[in-house]
Amino acid sequence: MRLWSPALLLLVGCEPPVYGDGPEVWSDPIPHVGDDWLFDHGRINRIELVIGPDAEEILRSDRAFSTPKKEVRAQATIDGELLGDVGVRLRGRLGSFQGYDHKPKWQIDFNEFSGERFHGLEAISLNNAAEDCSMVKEPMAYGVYDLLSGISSRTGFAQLFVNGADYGLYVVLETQNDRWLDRLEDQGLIDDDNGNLYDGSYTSASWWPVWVDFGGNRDTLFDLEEGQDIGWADISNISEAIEASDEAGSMVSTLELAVDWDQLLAHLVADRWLGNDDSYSTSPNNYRVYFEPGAPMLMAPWDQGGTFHVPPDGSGWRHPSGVLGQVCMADGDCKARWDSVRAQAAEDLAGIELELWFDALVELTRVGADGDPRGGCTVAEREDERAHIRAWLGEASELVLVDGED
Amino acid sequence: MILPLLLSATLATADDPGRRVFGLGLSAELGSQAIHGVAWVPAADWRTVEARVFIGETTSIDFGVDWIRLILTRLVSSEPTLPSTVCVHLRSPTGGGWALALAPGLDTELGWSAVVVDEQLAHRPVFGLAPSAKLGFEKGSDGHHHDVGVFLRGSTGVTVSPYGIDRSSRITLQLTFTWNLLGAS
Repeated sequence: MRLWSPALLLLVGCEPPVYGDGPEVWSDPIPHVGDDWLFDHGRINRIELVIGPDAEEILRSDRAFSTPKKEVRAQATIDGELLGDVGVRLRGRLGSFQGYDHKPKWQIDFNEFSGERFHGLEAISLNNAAEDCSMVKEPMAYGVYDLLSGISSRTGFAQLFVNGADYGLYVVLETQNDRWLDRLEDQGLIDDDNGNLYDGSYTSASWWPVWVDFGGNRDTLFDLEEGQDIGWADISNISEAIEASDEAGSMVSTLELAVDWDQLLAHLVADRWLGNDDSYSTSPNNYRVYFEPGAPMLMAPWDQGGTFHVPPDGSGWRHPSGVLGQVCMADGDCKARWDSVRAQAAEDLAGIELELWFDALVELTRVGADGDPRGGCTVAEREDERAHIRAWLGEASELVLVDGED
Repeated sequence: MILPLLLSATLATADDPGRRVFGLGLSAELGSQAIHGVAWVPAADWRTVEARVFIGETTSIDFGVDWIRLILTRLVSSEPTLPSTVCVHLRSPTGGGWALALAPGLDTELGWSAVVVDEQLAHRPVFGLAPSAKLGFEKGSDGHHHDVGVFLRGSTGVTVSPYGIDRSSRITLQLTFTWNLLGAS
């Protein structure tokens, strides 16, 4: 019986822990004009969810490998504005997933039941910063991708309450969907928002992660997020061009034309500058690609919990895992372009007061993060992480120029 | 292609050596599994409870269940399943205590999947079926205190869940050790 006891305990599960409340750190409500206020780095929004017992039971049944995560009805109030019924579901997998009774990642789908958008948005994501004691890595990371590659999500902060319980501080993330594409079009970053958007996050089979990338007969693993199902023809077009480049020993013109290389290389520089060990350059993972009709492919970052990990001068950056990076490094012209893009990026970032930006984020989030009842980090760990990132900001732009040894 | 490997150690008891064996043991497997018909990935299995019923000197019916996988799927997914295997284990002595062994069989997977029906949590069955076979060599110790074996094992089949049908195939190299606690003769 003794041998069986641990197994039985695992089967029946445990009672969820009881968390207390943290400090109330939300900012005073403001007039809601447009949606920028949700992604304002100068304030913390208050988000309240009311979830019924049946819906709670559904959410409790989700685990890290539950696919798909189940969506339930909830009532939401954001910054004092009652939205009525919305759809909510848990997010995340290995690394970032936490169960409903802890500090899960969320997606709030505003129009799931009502069909109504919220100030033009169809959804937002709430990230739990499970891998980030500083709580500011993701806002910094998405900001750097935005500065360098132009294609990124907006971020903000919120204190979340579920049925009155304090779930602590969250990073509000602009969900990448058709509304996001619409914003990119409005800002002139793309000309047409009617193209196909694919998710390149890893999938899993029999407990094993399967990386999603071009070539290698894995086109069908890309997940169509927005657009029309055309049988992965746009993905296959690039995969075939990669294979042709492999055979030719240099980048073929079809591949050169199919990808916006300046944008892609800037994205890869951001991977490197941020020391992102879970990105297109490294896994590849946590990226999305957009195929604008009649235009070359663009890449966007998604779920950036792995930043500030790998120093930008490591030799591994010369051998990126993403096949598009590999093709570029093997091509003399593209490699020269890469050197030029990262030099420009280093110069651009060196001219920005990154430490001031960081200090302002820390100032905004310090009380909420340190007092987060479900955060999982000690105050000392949070301070160490903040010091680590601040030091990084001062060094990364020089280190990203170092080629490293083979 | 990643080299598949199965290590199996079975603790067994027998009330009649060479006639009936009940085994309780530990095994671990690293194999390969196809997903979406395009990608091969390593897979891990633990066939941790085994029973063997001999129906002759050279033939047994083997039954195994992977209860660790049941626990793990319960912990990390909302689709807990219990994989099991039943096979006919045929042995043909080749000399020196070794025997050529062939074991055609059937892998099954039974479980349930948590789904949402009318905004309520509901459970729907998950069922998997895969013909399997293994071919290899076995050697018994003097008095049948223990057996060792090396096999090439393969299976291919489908798993049906509320979310659709998954087709998968796998091939593994299986190394086995069976200890017959009461099997001496």
